[in-house]
Formats: sequence, structure tokens, C-alpha cells
Amino acid sequence: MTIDSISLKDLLLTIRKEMADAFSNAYWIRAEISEIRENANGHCYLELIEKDSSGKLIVAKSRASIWADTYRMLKPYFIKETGQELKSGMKVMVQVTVSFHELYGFNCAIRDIEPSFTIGDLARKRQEAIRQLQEDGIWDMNRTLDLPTPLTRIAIITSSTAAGYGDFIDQLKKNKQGYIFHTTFFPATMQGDGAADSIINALDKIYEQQEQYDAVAIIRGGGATTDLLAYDEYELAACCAQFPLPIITGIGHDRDQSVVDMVANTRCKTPTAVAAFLIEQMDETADNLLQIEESLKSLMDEFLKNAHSRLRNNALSLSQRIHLLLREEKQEMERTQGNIKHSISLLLMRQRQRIKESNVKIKNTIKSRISEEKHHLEISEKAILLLSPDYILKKGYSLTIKEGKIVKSQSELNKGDTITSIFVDGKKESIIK
Amino acid sequence: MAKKTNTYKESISELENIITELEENQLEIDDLANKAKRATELIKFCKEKLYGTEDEVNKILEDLDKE
Repeated sequence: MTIDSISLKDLLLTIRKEMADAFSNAYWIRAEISEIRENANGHCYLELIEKDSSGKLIVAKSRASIWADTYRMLKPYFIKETGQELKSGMKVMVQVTVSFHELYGFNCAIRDIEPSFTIGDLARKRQEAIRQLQEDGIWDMNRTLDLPTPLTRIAIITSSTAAGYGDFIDQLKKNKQGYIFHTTFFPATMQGDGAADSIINALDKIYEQQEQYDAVAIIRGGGATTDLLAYDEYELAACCAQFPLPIITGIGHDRDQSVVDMVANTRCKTPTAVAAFLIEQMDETADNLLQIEESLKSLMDEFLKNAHSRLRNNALSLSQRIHLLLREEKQEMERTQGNIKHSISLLLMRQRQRIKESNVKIKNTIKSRISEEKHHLEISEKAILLLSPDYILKKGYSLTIKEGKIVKSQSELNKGDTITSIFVDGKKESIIK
Repeated sequence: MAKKTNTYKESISELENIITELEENQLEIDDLANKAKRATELIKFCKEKLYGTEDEVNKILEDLDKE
């Protein structure tokens, strides 16, 4: 059996020829870059794919290339327009010519690129991430966290190679107010492929020891501002949004805010701005403390002053009261004294009166007594006078005395006795016969 | 969240309470000395949180001298 056959090369050359005839035009196609690499000659080799509507299943795949002379122009143009480098996962609209080579197979040679398509796609993805975060209900979670006071213990996620990190630490620690910041460094890749995962990894580490920090600073010091797509990725943004500590970003790019910036508690443009913000927060805290201190001081002064004047008033009124009381007592005493004096003088007067009266009475009594006695005496005198020998002698009687004794009877006398007769005007002796 | 932070916050709110008591004349003269002492302690504590303890400050000053 003889079968007609041609060599592989003949077949492939035929395909090459047919294809060149049939697909001589250039075509604008939409595809996703799944692989991309530059070689030393300046050519760029890619793999373009298309996925189904679910975004999971690859339904078309082709090699592609951008030859060095084209790539030299397309690359800066694309970066200038989109702010991004061509990279895997990126959707592009490119103008290609197709060719088939017996040795290298099918290839799309990229002649031109439409950056607005990629921009639109990135914007759509970004929008999609934002919508998803809002739908998940986590959009505001980090943004609404209160910044703790004082804000001193900062976990810092940045690249270990970032020159800006040293400046940032310097700026923070040598603040002229003398605030103490405690910083801990968590290294991560801050841009390009793997940045999102690397930052999420660092956040996980911080999460495990979250009590030790007041906030997280995600900073990216200097470097090209390309390839910051990580900060628009849903996973990283979702991780930041739900993080329990406030996140402060200083990613440093000129274009619109990234999604991470949007969900972060505080967004600063640069690491320098983050440091300034942290110091500012401390200024506020310190101001607040100073105000409290000053109002306490003045309130206590006032309190003491009031208490002092109250005391003085009390003391004053006390002394006034004492004076008043003393005056009243004095008056009362004087009144009592007056009363007593009056009573006493009244009493004295009465007594005197009575004494006087008694005196008069006594005098009268004595007088009358005396006169009575006198009268009595007079009577007695008279009687005595009447009875006295003189009185009797005057009347003519005489006394006969014998030997010194009064003779009361004639019988006492004998003849011859000498008697003495006493008369009022003298005596005469006689002899009895 | 963090224990230390709460303590600062608590200190501030305690200080604010003392201010309120003073403003509303709720304090007795007997309490004043105690409250003043307490306020001084709290302010010292808060300042240490912001400016570090004396040791820390001295260390920083030393570091600055070295440079």
C-alpha cells in the first residue's frame, strides 16, 4: 500500500503560506496577559488567554510577542497612560498580526496597544472591589474605629529596603515635643507581584499581638509609583477594612486613592505625612491633658478662694454675733444690777424708815418710862421725905437715943440714965429723974 | 482594646470627673486635698504615657548627646 505523504515541514510551510494569505490584516483583539517576560534582546514574550464568563475556565490561549523595536515604544507609552506596567492578570486591547512558523508555531505579534481599555478594566475591577467591600458590610469598619489616646505604640509595615523608613523613624522619634513612640517593624513587599499577600501576612502577625499596639502604619517609602495594583485588590482591602486596630496609610502615589487608602482609618499621602499625623495626634492629646491640668488648677484655686472667703465671712459673723451676745449680756447684767440696786436701796430705805420709826418708838417708850419712873420717884421721894426723921423732927417730934440706940419704949429708961434728945435743930442731953 | 490605653482613658475621665465635681461645687473642703493629690498622680501618669518616664527621657537625651 502506497500512501501519499508530505513532510511535516512541507505541511507547516503550506499552513504558513495559507495563513499569511488569509490573515494578512491586523486585528484588534481583547485578551488577558497570563505570562509576560522580556529577554535580553529587548523582545517581549507573552501568553494571552481568554476566560469564560465565570472567570475561571480558560477558553482560548495563544503565544504573543512584542518585538523589540515596537516594545521600546509601547512600554513607556503604556506606563505613561496607565501608571502600570504590563503584567500578568492584566486585560489588554492589542493590535496583532498573526503568523504561523514551521518551527515556532502560532504567534500573535503585537503592533499596538490601547491603554484606555486596561485603564477601564482596572477601574472596573477597582469598582468591583469597592462594591464587594460595601456589600460585605465591612467598608466602614476600620474607618470608624476611634484612634486610641495616646497613640504611641505603632506597628509599621514597610519594605526593609525602603530608604524612607529610617527617615520616618527619625522624624517620629526626634519630635521636638519629646513624645515617646514605641515602633515595631514588620517587613513586607510593598509593590509588584506578591505585595498584597506579603502585606496580609504582616497584618496577620500584628493581629496575633494586637494588644501591644495602638495602630498600624502601612508605609511605602519612595520608589517608582508603578505597580501599586495590590492596594486595589479586594483581599488586601478586605483585610485592612476588618482589621481591629486603626490603619494609617502612607503609600505615596500621585493618582487617586487606592482602595486600601479608602478603607483605612486614616489616609496620608507619604510616610512623612504619617509621622506628622501621629505627632499631631499626640499634640492634641497633650493639649487636652494640659487643658485638664490648667482647668483643675484654676478650679481648685477658685475653690480654695471661695472656701477662704466663706470662712472669713463665718469668722466675721461669729465675732459679730459674739459681740452682740456680749452686749446683750452686758445690758441684761446692767439691768439686773440696776434692779438689784434699786431693790436694795428700796429695802434700805424701808429698813431705815423702820429703824427710824423704831427709834422714835423706843425713845417715846423710854421717855414715858423715864417720866413714869420720875413720877414714881417723886412720889417715893415725897413719901420718904414724909417719913424722914428730919421731916418728923421738923413737925416737933424728937428722937431719944440711949447709948447710940433709938429708945422706942419708956421701959428702956432707968433713973439716972443719960439720954440724948435729937431735935430738928440739934440735940440736948438729959438725965432721967 | 489595649489595657494601657484604657488606663490612660480612665485617667482622663477620672480627671474630667474631678473637674465636673469642682465646677458643680460638689466637693467638700475635706475632699479637696485628696482630690488634688489624686489629680496630680493621674496627670503624672498621663504625662509619662506621652513623654515617657524620666528614665526614658534621660536615655533619649543621652542618645542625642552621642550624636
